[in-house]
Amino acid sequence: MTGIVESIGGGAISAMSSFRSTIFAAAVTIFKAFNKEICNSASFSVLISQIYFTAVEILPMFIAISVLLGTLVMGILFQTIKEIGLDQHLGRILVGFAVTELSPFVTVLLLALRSSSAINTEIAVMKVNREIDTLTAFRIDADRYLFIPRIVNGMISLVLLNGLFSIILVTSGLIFSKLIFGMGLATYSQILAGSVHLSDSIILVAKCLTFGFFITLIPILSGLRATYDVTTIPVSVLHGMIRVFLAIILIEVLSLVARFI
Amino acid sequence: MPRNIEIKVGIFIIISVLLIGASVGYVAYKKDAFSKVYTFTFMSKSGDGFSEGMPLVFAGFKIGTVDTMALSDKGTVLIKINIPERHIKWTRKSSIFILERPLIGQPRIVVYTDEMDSPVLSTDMAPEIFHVDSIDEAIHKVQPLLTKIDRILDNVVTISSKLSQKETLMEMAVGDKESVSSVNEFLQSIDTMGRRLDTILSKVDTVIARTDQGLYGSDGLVVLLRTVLTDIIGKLDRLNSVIDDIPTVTGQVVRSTGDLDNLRKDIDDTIHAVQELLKDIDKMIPMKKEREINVP
Repeated sequence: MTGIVESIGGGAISAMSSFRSTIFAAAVTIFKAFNKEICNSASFSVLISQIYFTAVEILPMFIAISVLLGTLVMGILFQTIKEIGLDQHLGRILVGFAVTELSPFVTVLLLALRSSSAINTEIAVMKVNREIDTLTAFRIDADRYLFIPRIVNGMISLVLLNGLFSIILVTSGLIFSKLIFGMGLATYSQILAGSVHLSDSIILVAKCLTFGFFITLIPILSGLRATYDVTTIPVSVLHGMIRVFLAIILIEVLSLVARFI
Repeated sequence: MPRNIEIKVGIFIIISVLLIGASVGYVAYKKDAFSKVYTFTFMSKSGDGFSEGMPLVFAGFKIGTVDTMALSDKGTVLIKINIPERHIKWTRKSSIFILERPLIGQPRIVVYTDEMDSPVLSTDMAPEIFHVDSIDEAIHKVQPLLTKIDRILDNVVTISSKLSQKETLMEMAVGDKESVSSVNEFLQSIDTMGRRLDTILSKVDTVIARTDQGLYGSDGLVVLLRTVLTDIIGKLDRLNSVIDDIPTVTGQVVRSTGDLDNLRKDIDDTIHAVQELLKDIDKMIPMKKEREINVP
């Protein structure tokens, strides 16, 4: 019995410690990100390559998934709206659910599956191979050269890919509004515009930036927790991905609370 | 870093930013974000029901938004409403502004404009917004209706109880048994009348058939009349030719009349001679006084 309680207490303390260290690391990273010294050609080069691997390389697959998922979701959504007679709330549902909630959630899941795991593995391998120690030995700031470009890349990529996904969703919505409701472009855009609010847009962008920030920061921190043993790499990735998904859920909940309070 | 990676990333960022920017710009344009916005000040005796961001609605369409509210020195509430330039035409000096608070849904300020010829509302004016508390008003409106419904229900109960005492549906409909018997008698007489009417109609049918035969049959009046008329027309044709011959005949008659005169004279002469001869013969016959015969 005591062992169970001890286990629960240990887990809670570990979780709290991890959460605290993540928040602390986030604060330090934000502080460093606004440092002028961060902007140099090496960091910029890393940023460009990271954007390429994170956003450009997956673009065909991302667009294909967006079209497929967007078409299906919008078709089902519009048909359901028509069946239950909520036509007058079409714009609100389209913007409030599809654009503000579904689009960033799907985007962050796709990026987390592909990039977060890759970043976590990369950092863990660098740790095991003592590359990070080497950078420190040569007085190269790992934060400036390795971490911040990746985090900025995560934020930029997520905002841009989320924008593309939203445009595909809205375009699918236009097609289905024509097919299901016989609605023209003028009416559809009027409904859409009437349902978009500045506060929702700000929350959407903030959510995307936060998603992008944490789905790259957490894998980096998790990779740095790896020891010099190769076997710790998969454990590090496993823990990192679990934390990433917990962070996604937490941010989603907080954004919903922010929207509806 | 390979140059083509930089180009690809650059293209991706530019296209994405352009697409997102265009989408956001289009939505902003549709939301009148780029059009000039005028701020109008309205007055209200109370600030209850108003809130920032509340829509100003004309004919069901949102034409403005409540921007700010403030309490004036006079104790009235000043409400500033932003209206885009293209919607200003719906707010006239004669317009009435009413705060509607429906039982369900968001409260809103509704513009009623009957006279579109009236001058457009200027920003210097501060028209009053009237309150329509839908809940209180609904209760006030519903109260008399409820009273009427109560009366109607009482009447329905009375009628139902009266009807339940009747034996048949007919009795429920007409009221009492005497009326039911009257209705029955009337229905029976209708039956008799119907039979008579049938007989009459059959006779009328026979008469019509006969008349039809008399008129249009093979020996009918119409056929006979047609024959007679044909005959008359033939005779008229012949008479026409006779009439045409009349002038000729008349001339011949004139000539013949002269011949007749001559003939008559000859006949007269002959007769006269025969008479004379007879007289002579008479004279020659015994016992006649004159025997002398004069030959002409």
